[in-house]
This record gives sequence, C-alpha cells and structure tokens, in this order.
Amino acid sequence: MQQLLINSLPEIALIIGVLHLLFLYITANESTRNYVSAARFWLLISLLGSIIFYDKSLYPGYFQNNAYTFLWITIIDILTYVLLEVSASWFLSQSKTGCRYYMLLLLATLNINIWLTATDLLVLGLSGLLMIIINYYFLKIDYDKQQTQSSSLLYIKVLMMVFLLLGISYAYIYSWMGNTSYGALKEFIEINQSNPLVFATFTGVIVFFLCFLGIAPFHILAEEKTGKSILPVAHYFAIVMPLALWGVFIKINLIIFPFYAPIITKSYLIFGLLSVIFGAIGANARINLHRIYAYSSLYHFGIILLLLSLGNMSAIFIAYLYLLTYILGLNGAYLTFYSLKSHGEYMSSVTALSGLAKTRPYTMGVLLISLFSLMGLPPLAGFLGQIGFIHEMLNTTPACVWC
Amino acid sequence: MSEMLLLLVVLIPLIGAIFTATAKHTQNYATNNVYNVVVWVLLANISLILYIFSLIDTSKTGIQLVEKYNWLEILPIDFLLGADVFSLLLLLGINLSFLIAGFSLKKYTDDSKLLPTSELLFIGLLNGYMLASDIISFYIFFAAVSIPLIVLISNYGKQYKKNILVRFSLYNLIGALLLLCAIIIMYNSKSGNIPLNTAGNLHLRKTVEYFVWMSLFIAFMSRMPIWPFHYWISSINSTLRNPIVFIIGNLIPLVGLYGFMRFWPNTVAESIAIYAPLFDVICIFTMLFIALVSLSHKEFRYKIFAYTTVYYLIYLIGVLLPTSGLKMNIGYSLFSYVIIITVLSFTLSHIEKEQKRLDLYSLKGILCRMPRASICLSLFILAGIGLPVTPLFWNNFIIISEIFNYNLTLGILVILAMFLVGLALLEELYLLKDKSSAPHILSETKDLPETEFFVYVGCLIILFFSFFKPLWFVF
Repeated sequence: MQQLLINSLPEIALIIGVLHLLFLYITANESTRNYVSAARFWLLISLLGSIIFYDKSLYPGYFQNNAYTFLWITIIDILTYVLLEVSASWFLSQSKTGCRYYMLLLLATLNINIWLTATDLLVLGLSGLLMIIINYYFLKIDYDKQQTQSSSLLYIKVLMMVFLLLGISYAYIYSWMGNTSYGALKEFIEINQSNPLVFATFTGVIVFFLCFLGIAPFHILAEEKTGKSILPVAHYFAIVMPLALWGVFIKINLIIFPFYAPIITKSYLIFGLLSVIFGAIGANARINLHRIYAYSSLYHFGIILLLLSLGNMSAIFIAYLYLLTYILGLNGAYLTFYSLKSHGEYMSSVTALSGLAKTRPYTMGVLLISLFSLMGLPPLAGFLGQIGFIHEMLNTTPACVWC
Repeated sequence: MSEMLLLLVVLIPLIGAIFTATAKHTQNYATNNVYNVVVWVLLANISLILYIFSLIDTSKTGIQLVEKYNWLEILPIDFLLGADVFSLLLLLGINLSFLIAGFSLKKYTDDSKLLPTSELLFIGLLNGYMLASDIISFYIFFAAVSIPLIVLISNYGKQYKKNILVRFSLYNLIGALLLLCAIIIMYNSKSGNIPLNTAGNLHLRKTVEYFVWMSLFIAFMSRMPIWPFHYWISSINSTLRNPIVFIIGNLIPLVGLYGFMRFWPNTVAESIAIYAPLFDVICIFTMLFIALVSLSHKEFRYKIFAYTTVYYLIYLIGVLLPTSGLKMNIGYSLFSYVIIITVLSFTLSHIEKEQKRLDLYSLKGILCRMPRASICLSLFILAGIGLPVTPLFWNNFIIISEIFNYNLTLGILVILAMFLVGLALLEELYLLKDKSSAPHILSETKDLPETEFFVYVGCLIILFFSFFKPLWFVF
C-alpha cells in the first residue's frame, strides 16, 4: 500500500491540488493569486513525482510508466505550468478568479497522466470520456454567457457520438476475449487480423482519436475549440490537449499499426493530405488569429499524420520532433496574445497587430520568431521538424513533399 | 582560436544583433549604444576578413581554411565553413558597404532598434551564406537570409506593403522549399552531407537529376530580379525609402547570383548545362525591359534599381558562360559594385531627405546647392557606368568581351541594356545639376555632412587602388 501511494504521487498531488482549490473556493478565499499559487505548487509536486518515479506505476496491470510516458508527461506538465503562470494575468484583468479554470486544468493534467500511462483499453476509454467532459466544461467557461454555449454543446455532442464508437469497439473486444490490456490486444489482432470485424473495431478506436484531434475530414471542431473560447482555454486547447492526444495516439499506433500497415498507411496518407490542404486554405481565409492558428494546427497535424503513415521508427521520431517544435512555436505565439491588450480588451484580430512593432517591440519580436519557427525557417527550431519531414518523405514517397 | 575564424565572421554580427535588440530603449540609445555596436561589429569583422585574407593563398581558386562543426548526430549533419578569394572579396565588399551605412545610420534609424538589429542579423546570415561549404549549411543560410528583409518590409514598407510582403515571402519560401528538396535528395544519394564543390559528382537518375538542378536554379532565380520573379524587388525598391533597407533589398539578388556561381559551371551536371542559353534569353529579356522602363521612369531610386538589375544580370550571364575563367573578374567587379551602390543610395537618401524637409516638388537643380553631394553622386555614377578609375571598368570589360566571344548578338544586347541604363542615370544626374531649374528656395539646402563626404571619398580611394591591384590590401 505504501509503495502504491509513493508510485502514485504525481496523481495524488494533482487530486490534492483540486481539493485544495475546492477548499479555497468553499472558504470564500477567492483570489486569483491564491488559486494560481495552490495549483502551481501541486503541479510542481506532481512533476517532481513524475521525474523521481518515472518508471514506477500505479497498478502495473492497467498503467505502465516508462521513458516514453515520462517524456510526454514532463513536457505537458511544463506547458501546463506556463499556462498557469500566464493565465493569471488574464483572469486578473477580467476581474475573475478563474477557480473553475484552475480546477479543470489540474483535473485535465491528472487525466492526461492516466491516459498516457494506461495499458488497458478500458482505462483508455474511461479517461477519454473524462477528457471529453473536462473539455466540455472548459469550453463552458464564458463570461459573456453567449459565445461558447453553442461550441461546447457541439463539442460534447460530436465527441460523445464518436466515443460510442470507442465504446462499441471495447464491448466487442471484451466480449471476444474478456481482457482488454494492450498486450492481450496485440495477441488478439495477430491471431484475428484477417477478420473484418476486428479491423472495424480498431478503426473505431482510430477514428475516435482522429476526431478528437480534429484531423480532416473530422475537423468540424477545429475552429470551435480555439476560435470562440476565452484566451486561457484556447491556449489549453491549442497546446496541452494536442500534445496529450498525440502522445496517446502514437502509443496506440505502435500496437495496431504493424498488423494493418497497408490500409492504415493509405488512410493516414489521405487524411494527412486532406488536413494539409484544408489547413492551408482555411488559415488563409481567416482574420481572427485564434482561428488562423486552429487551421494552422490542422495543417501541422496533417504533416504529423503523413509522417505516421510511413510507420517506421525514424518517421515516428521525426513526428515527435515536429510536434514538439510546432508546439513550442505555437506556445510562443500564444504567449504574445496575453500582451495584445487594448482598453482592457484582449485583441484577437490580425488587424490588431498593426503598429505592434512600435508599441511593443519585444512582443512583436517573440511573435515573429514564433511565426518564423512555425514556417520552418532556419535557424529556428521549426526547421528541424521541416527538414526531418521532407527527408523522411523524400526517402519514401516523393510526391508528398509538395504539401 | 585560429581554427574558428570563419565561424567568428558569422557570429560577431549575430552577437551584435542580440546586443542591439536588448539595448536599453532610451532617447539617446542610437548614438550611445546601438550605433557604436554596429560600427564596432563591422570594424571587427572587416579586420577579421583582412586577417583571413593574409592566411590564404590568393593565387589558388579552391576553397581554403575549411572548418568543420558537428551539428545533428541523428541525421548525421556536420557543418563545413570555408573561404576562397572570391567569397572573401564579396564578404569584404558587403561588410565595407554596411560600415559606410553605419556612419550614416544615426540619420535613418528613427526611433526604432529594429533597423540596426535587422541589419546586423542580415550581415551575419549573409556572411554565413558566403562561407557555407556544404549543402545543408548553404541551405540554412540561404533560407534564413530573407528573414531580416521580411521584418524590414513589414516595418518600413509604405503603400501596397501587404502585397509586396506576400509576394516576396511567397517567391522566397517556394524557392527555399525547392532548394531544400533538392538538397535533401543530394544528401540522401550520398547518405550524408556533401561539400558544395562535389555536388556535381552525384550519380542520380535522369529525372531526379533534372528535378534537383531545376529546383536549385529556380530557387536562385527567385532571389534575383529576373523574369518572372522580378516583381517583388522592383516593388521593394519603389516603396522603401530607407537607404539601409534599400541596400539590404539590393543585396538579396547577390544571394541568388552567388548560388549560381557556386554551382555553375564546374558543379552543374552536363545534362542541365545545355539549358544555359535559355537562362541567357530570360536575362536579356529582363535587362532590356527594365532598362527601357528606367528611361521613362521619373524616380531616381528606380533608375538605381534598374542599374543594379542590369549589372546583376550581366554577371549572371558571365557565370552561365561555358568558362570558369571569369569568376575572379566577377568577384572584383562585385566588390566595387556593392560599394558604389551603397554610396549612391546614401547620397540619394540625403538629397531626398532635403527635398522632404524643404517640401520641394522636384529634385531638379538641387545639386547646384550641394557641392559635396554633387561631387559624390557624379563620381560614383560615372564609376558605376564605366569610368576607368575602379576595377568595375576593366573587369566588366573582360566579362563583356567574353560574352561577345560567346555570342555576338548576346553581346550587342548586353551593351544596349548597359547603354540604356547608363543613359537613364546620366539623364537624372543632368537634371539634378541643371542650374536653370534650381528654385530659389534651395539656398536653405544642407549639403552632405563632411564626415559622410570624407567616408565616400575614402571609398573612392579604395576603389582607385583596386583599379591597379584588386587585392592591394593583402600583404
């Protein structure tokens, strides 16, 4: 029991963090600074626990911590910490405490930890469901009470429908073999890979993630998440959520891909190309910066999917590198949004950027560096992802390089 | 330390850019911090380049002083930096021209640190581009060198800024992407990074070979004022009034020209070299078109742009000739050419500033009240179009005679374009010096400051020495 408690220190710290925030809320200790300090403290404890016990797991049958999960969790925790820091100024300027936001953020981090370390389809499904609910409540944070109502409803409707696919897949696999751990799944697919029902089952799992990520043609939610929500929520949806989703999705792919490589390769190639095209066209047709970045994400996710379609380890490594450099670049761009304030209002239109170099030269500098990195220009980090992508594509499918 | 000289030439301006970007933003920052940093960085770089000149054998043509740096172990990629007389000469010319610009920097920086920072960034990246000796680092600097200009256009552009920026970014990014594809194919064919001078020894399939070389040349063409890529540079030159931005905009074509020089004629595959006449035709078409437009154009700055375009394209035709003997002549010419353009641009900016200050409708006759500016402009225009006091004269003579040797019609058309653009400049000079048009308000006109005048005279002396011995500064 003692060992179990120690191993689950990262998760316990986050649960205590949520309870701490709840306590502060109940005791009417309503101050953004208090909430941020408490959330920050417990997040750091969680991060420390993740670093120290990077290879220890809660229930080894259902969870497995290793170098892979450690890397993703550490990066996500660091980015969440950044989010905590910068969102405080936003809530203070709006005269809001942000209690719900910070509680949801800690809950989301906890759920991401579970999601990433899960080694059982049941845990994966349940944490997926929890993630949808948390995200729904994130989208409901709207102080105008108007803007995001439709977005949050659409979000939960669409994802719940897709979640049904995951549920059906799980029920089918469970009824067949009575065990849904990843190891058992691997053996199960190996034996039944020619069975079309088994293939359809795993298609359900993959479609769930593609929808969640907003890959074309399932990009109905691409704009809704970041285009209409408040800045800290948009920041969370643009940075933390995709990173967690890709972490889990790549893990699932490593299990399923080898058995259905020919079909998955073609599907990913088509979805990837569609995302790249829709993303590039969509971004050019928008003037709201959040929406531009939403479509830019679609484009970049398309690139990552194209890399995954290659199915080899070096392509997966490049996909990881690409994702990381992309997230860093986008995070830089999002950080500048917190400085784009005029008459108490946070600006989100492209036109708000005119004259920024004169009024806020450092903000403009950060934005430019981030954008150049997102464009993949050397000598910035985004170039590493771009060179890796083109290198992999030219080695395998020369036609894809034109995207 | 002596093994890192070339790296230092790249790093010093980049470090300077960090200093200028982070300098305290006070009213006097330009004079106290930024200005000093720019001048001292350039002086240090020029001294370093002169020292490197003393270390290499100037009678050899190949790359010398190669420096190797590890970068990515996973791909694996090592950076190679190297220098030959040609690249060092260009580096010296570029750094010298920005030093000249540095002395006038105070007048044109307005209240922003953006200009000196971008300038130093540009110099550092351009130095890296000239010293890159492997295909990967060559690409990195090629793509990165456009960043400062994108920043400057977005800040200093006036009307149609957005359109210009979109076109410039589009041409340059497409060019850079094509170059990246070509370079990665080359990299994959050898499973590693390859030195620039061995790029032609690769054994590629015919279609792949065509793709690689066409991508390379489209990438270089995208940086030159050559049809159909000429639009962005002419737009920049007609809208950007700041002389430093003008010089940076005019040095971008040098990036394209240098790319051609590095790959043609020794490195390029034979199957591609047969298309050189096609490039010649495009060059001639563009040269004549721009030269004719400059004759009818009323803006002096556009005429300088037309002059730079025509001369860049002459050098490009020189590069495309089936001989490698012209390389050094082109280098000597470019050294003078860059300095001449800088002085012309700054003198013109001073005149334009006076025009704005005095609210003059026209520049006609303005030089009558500006004797120092008049001397500078006259001498440098004459030097630019062929006065036999700079190396531009006899090196251009050799290049053009080689063009005549290669094809008589081509030679005649080149001479025609040079004549037209020379005529456009002389016509403008005449108008500026025309006493009958000088309005009485010109008595308040301020002449070129003495410091600037002496700096320009110093430039003329440098060019004069180079006329007799191009590498006179090498001991």
